[in-house]
Amino acid sequence: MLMLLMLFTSFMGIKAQDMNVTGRVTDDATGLPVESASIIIKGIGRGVATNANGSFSITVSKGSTLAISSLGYDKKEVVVTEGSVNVSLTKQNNNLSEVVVVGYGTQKRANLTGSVVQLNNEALIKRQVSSASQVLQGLAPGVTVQQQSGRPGADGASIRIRGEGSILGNSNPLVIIDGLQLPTGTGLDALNNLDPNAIESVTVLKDAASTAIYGNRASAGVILVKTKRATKKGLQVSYNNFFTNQSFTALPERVGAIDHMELSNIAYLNQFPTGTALPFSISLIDKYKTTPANNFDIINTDWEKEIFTNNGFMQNHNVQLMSGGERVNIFSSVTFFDQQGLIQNNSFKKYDIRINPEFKLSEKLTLNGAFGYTNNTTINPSTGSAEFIIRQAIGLPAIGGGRYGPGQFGTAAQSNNRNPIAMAEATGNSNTEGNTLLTRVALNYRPIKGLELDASWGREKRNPYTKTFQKNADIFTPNLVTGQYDKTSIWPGITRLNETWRNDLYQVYSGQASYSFKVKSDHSFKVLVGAQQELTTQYFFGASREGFINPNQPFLNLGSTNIQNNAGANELALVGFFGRLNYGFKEKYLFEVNARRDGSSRFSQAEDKQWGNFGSASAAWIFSKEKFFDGISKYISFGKLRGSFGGNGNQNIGSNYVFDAFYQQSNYGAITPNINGTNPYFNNLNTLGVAILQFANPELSWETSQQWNIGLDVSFAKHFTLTADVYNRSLKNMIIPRALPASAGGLSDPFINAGSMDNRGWELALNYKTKLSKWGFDATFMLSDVKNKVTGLVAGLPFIGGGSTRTQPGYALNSYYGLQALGYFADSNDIKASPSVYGFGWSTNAAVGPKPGDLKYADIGGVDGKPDGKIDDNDRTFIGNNFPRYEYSINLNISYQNFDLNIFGQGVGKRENFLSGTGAVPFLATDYIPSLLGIHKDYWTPQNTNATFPRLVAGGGSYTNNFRASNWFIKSAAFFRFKNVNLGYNVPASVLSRVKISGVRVFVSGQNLFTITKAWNGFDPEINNANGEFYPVMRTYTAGFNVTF
Amino acid sequence: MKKIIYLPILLLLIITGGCQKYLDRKPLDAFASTTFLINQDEMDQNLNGVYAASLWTFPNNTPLLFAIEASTDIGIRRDQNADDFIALGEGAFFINNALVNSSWSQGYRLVQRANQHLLGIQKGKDNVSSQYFGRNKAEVLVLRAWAYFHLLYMFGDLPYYKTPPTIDEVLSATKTPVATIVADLYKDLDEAVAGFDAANAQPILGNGRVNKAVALGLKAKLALLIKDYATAATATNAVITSLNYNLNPSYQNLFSIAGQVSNNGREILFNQTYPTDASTPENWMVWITVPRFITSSQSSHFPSQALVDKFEGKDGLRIDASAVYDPLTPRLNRDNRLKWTISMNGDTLLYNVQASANGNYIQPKEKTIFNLYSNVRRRFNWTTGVFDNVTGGNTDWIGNTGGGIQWAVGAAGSRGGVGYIWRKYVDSTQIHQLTKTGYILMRYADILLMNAEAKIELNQIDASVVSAINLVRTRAGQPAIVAGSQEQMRQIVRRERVVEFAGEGLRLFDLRRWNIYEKANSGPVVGAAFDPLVAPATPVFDANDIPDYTASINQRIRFRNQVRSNNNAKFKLWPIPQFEIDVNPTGIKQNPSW
Repeated sequence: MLMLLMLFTSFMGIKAQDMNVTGRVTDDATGLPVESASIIIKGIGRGVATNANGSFSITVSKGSTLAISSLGYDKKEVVVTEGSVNVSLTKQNNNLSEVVVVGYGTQKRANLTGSVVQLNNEALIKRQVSSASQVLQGLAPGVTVQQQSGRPGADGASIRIRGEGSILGNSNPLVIIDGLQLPTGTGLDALNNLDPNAIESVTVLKDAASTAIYGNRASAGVILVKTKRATKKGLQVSYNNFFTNQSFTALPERVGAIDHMELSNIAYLNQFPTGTALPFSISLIDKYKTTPANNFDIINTDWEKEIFTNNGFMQNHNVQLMSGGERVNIFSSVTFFDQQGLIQNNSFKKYDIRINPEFKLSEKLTLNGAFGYTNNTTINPSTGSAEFIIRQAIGLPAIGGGRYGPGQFGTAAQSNNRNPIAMAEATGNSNTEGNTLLTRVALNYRPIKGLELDASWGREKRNPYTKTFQKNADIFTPNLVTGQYDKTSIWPGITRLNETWRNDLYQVYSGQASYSFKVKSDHSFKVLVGAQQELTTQYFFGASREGFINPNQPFLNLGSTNIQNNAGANELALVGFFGRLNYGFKEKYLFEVNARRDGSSRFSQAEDKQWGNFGSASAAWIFSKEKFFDGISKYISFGKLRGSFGGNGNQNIGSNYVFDAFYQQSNYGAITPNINGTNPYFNNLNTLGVAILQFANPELSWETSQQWNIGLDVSFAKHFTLTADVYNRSLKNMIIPRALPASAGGLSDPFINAGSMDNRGWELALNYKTKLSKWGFDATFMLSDVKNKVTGLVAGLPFIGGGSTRTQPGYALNSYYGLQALGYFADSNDIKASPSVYGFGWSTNAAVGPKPGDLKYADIGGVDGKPDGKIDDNDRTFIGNNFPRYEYSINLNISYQNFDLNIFGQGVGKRENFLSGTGAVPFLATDYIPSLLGIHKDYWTPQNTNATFPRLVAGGGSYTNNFRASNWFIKSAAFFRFKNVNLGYNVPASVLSRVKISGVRVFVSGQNLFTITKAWNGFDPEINNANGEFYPVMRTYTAGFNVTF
Repeated sequence: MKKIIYLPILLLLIITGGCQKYLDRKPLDAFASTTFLINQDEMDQNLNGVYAASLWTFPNNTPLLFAIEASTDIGIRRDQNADDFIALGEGAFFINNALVNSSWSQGYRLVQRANQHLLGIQKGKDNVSSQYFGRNKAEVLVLRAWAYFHLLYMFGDLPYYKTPPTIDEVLSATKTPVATIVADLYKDLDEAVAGFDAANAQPILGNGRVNKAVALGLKAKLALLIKDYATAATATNAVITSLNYNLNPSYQNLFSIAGQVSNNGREILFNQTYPTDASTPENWMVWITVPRFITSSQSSHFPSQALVDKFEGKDGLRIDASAVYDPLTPRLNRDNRLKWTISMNGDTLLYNVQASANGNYIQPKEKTIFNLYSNVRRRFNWTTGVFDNVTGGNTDWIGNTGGGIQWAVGAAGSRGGVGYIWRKYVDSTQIHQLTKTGYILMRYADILLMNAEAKIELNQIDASVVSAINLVRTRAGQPAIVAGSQEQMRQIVRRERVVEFAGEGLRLFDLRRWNIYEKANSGPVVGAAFDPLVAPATPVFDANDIPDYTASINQRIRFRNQVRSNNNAKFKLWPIPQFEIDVNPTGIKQNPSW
């Protein structure tokens, strides 16, 4: 619209008459120029627009009134009295006239009938983060954004819109970038590839009214991303950067060598009081106490310190070029991003190029393009994940030899010599190079007023290539006789190269037509119809070899043994037809109907399970436009009530051919030949065979989701806006694997439509915005809750899941399921008087049965559901879940003259987290000989009966009843976190005008600066299930600047 | 304006027209069920897939049927896990015993693959010759019947599927009685025989495939299970009169890879084979029986005294009657099959061990004299050519207390069984843990003895019965028998089966159909003399040659104080895996006493 206005005004002929007025339009809050503001001579209708500097020039007769307006600003009128007019515009408190991106089109915010949140560029660039998904955290109520890892290249956040959308299938929202609908698996990747500087807006579609038009793809909500376009005439260049120091937010505290030895002895004596030999002799411990650690015979390795040796430095550089002309507009953005991890061989590097050209082929025909190319390189250690290396750094005993010299690693006190320092630094790495090309070309034809025809073609091509090379590190042992370190071993002992290459191609064709018209001015209509088809094809192959005699030449042909290769391919086709009707009466009563018919190749054509119909209806009433409201409109300037109901489908179940019992080849594994093998050995020769290995279910069909939503939008008391929503999102026919008994033939379990669940929630967003001379103030508070409850499973299937979680009607998905701990056994009489624990009662044998200081559990069930005097699996019950509840955020923007400050805090009011594994169990020997954590030092003794942890036992204890899943290890993971503080300074234009720079902003910021939580010390409350294997999220300090030329 | 509206409609029509085809996607890296199995190559490959499901093992690469021997009176498995295997012989194990579950699931996996195959090949029936089709189908019918036969004698009445079941069919299955299933399988096996005949299939000799003789032998086994002796006699007679098969003149050659490849006499009818052109899998039957004082060994399965004592003296008489049996050196003057089946104190052991460094005692074979009674190993020195006395490292001597495990009368546990080692299948031409010798599933001697048994039960004790038994006995060097009463003949043929087939997985089937499982599995599990100078009293035998060791109980090595309980109804049948009942409690009832 602005463009048209500009074009229109530029063609106007201007007669030389009366006086020439020049002026400048600025934002009264920031002082920055307002571009493309329209200057209209009142009563005449003629006008001009401001240029990039906010300047304008117009010829008027003296005394005329100029009406100055710009989208998003309050209108202002000025009477011309002299030749120079400077106007400062005030930003509108509400964004009602803002154009919001919606499914297959746009809509004025005031006219929305669904639940939609749009975030604009300025909100997105306040935080300097490594993955764009992170910046959405806390900005949209009802959108749960959780960052579960700080690992470079894998630190993107998970996004859930209004709760969990599926048991097995996809719960990720559909991501659409510049109209290109991305495949489910790669949508968030594509979002993370974007530099927030290049994003114009992100729109989140939450309710069924707004998502139903996307049918089968959108049951988990939709994220619409629009990258920038060139909107100004001429060339504009900007450069943005930031430099960041990263460190971890939380890490469990370790124990030193002496603690390790003394506590090991205590644990041993707890189990074997008559044992002949302590694990560590008193004389050795005394020697450690009197001799400083020398890394030779007195070893006190701080594994965390030895492993976190990378600097964690992160930098980002982004250059944008915008070139606007009458026929051609081009926006381009180039980003370089580099992020180092905290351990060696652990980094992420990205080059990203965006080009968005727009060609006006004629007044009616426009060609739009959006091209994005991303090349990224992720490096990880090859012999174990970064998370596993960190878990060892947390869990290994300090007495193990770490590093003796360059390239000289100790045994880590492990019989297999596996040393995490060597794993991180010296045993090779895994290098994944991702190449992604996004392409979208769209033709837009407007033959007559109101009618728009669009045809588009889009594709995403991804070619990740991974090369993993494993080589040997040298393991040394102190030789007490010679005083030297002897090379005693190598680890892991095998050199291996593995390479895989993928070719994933996604293509989408779509066409649509929309026509908007009015009948008798009061009735406005908009009709949209369209169709699209999508095809995903995936292909990969991989090869590996072992036996590389030169570790510096990792090339396949140089490997000699264990030559292997494999490949795989699959495809997925989707077809959809969609339509939408909008009707508005006097812009007061608004109605919208959406319909979609979708077909998916994931279901059986023979059984006619491929097609599904989805739709929604919604209505809104702008009550503030009613006559009866006139009296109070100065208090409540805008009010709208919304309601919607609709449904979506979910066909994304990960597997493309569940309907067909296809035949596969599957060679025998090395150890268990008969599980899925298909080769026999006639005449003692390996003979190729095929067999059906999966239990097909041709009856399988869509998961469906239905949602109602009632919402309220109010602008009141001049400075406030409030948005409130209540909804229920109901999932049905959810797909789960149905476990069948072995008599079914040992095929992998069939998928069935089985489960239903509800996500019921509400959302609140309150904004306050004001301006006092040089001060600007903008605060947003958000609060939302969603409660997940499984409402049904198929008959004959009371629950699904195992281990410590269970999904059962009446409870949240994957609820924690375990015993109820009552406390510790006080003494032997207490044990004798209590139920036996998994068959163990009181015994004088120290190695058997519960002892004082072991956990005592509640006897709440038995074989027939009644307490039976025995503690066993029948006494398990629901003990919590880790869904975040009552998520809230506070976002403050304060400006003073050229300074701007953003303070952003975010929190979760209620959440449970179950500590397990290395986190919960001292001396847990799973895959290495372990130590214990600092928090475990608070263990039960007769003198410390209020301890956090039970009495110590060795090796996790052959008697492990203490560490069965129980509520004892569930703790609140509620938190409030100062997510971001960002202080910026805009260099005044007066300083810049001399050097032909139109804007400079310098800033410093910090992320995750501090956290208030009661969660386990050392475990980040944002990370689920703290079992000790995680990559901590980062605390960052950043500085950077933006320059616009 | 209206014309323009037609444009998107036209576009919609174009897309719609191609829709159904566009959405019809089939697997790319696997073969779709709708288009596969339409020619001979495809049918061959899927037939191979069915065979692959017949290679039953437990645990790991141990042949399943060998593992099952430990649930009978002739075998022991050393296992620390009380809810797993140790209790098998006691009939006291838990319902979800891993071996039982594994037997059930492996049986049904083969059933399922066979059913899928029989359904799938119908698509391509017209594209191949009727001879090929009939023969292909015949093999699968035999394999499916093979699976059902084992499930029947292990579990009794079964969910019986002849086509791949749907989810609902699985969840609402009921049990079909044994007799009904057997009668139905007769028809399958008759069709298989006709299929082999029509294809003029030549006998396939021990290479891992089934043939007409296997079909007939299997039919006989099914018939014996339901005491249909006439059918059993007829079926086995058809194999015998075909004159295609004979015994291998050398009993021990049956159990070496060279002997199996040449298969003299075509004795091996059906064989679970292993690849010599691939590193895995191996036949772990040898590895898991090699005693622990041999390099890289993993002994966990052992024979029992009850088995040892069933081998006659060389004079053809049971040990309690034999004039040549010496209780102090029981290894001498016995049926030759004893030394080919079991190693005992004083026997010379020869194993090919995997060793990177060759020493005087390993080149790479290791030869040693089994010494149960002192911590001295008599090891053959390959350099000097004499046996050296090497003290220490004899983990399997009865004084060993390593790991808190002690050999003793009534000890808590023993590491080496009860003083005996399986010898069958040991082949010193192969490294013991990499043995590729096939595990024999059916051989001609079994046909002969089943034929004899059926005729004895029919009381048609003619010359052919005596001849069948004597063919087996004389091959092993035992004296011929003469015809006797039905009871005498029954005892002879039953004893012949146990000594001929020990370790070959037939004992559980035999005990169940003879209805003597409870009797055979009773009392403490005993072994060799605890004191080499004190010969334990010779046991008393009953009419089924089941020994009673009451008199010698305190003179023998005992296995973990294990006492196998008499008259336990749980011996009748194994329990149906619990999950079958959990998901279908109305359709599938647990077996009695479980």
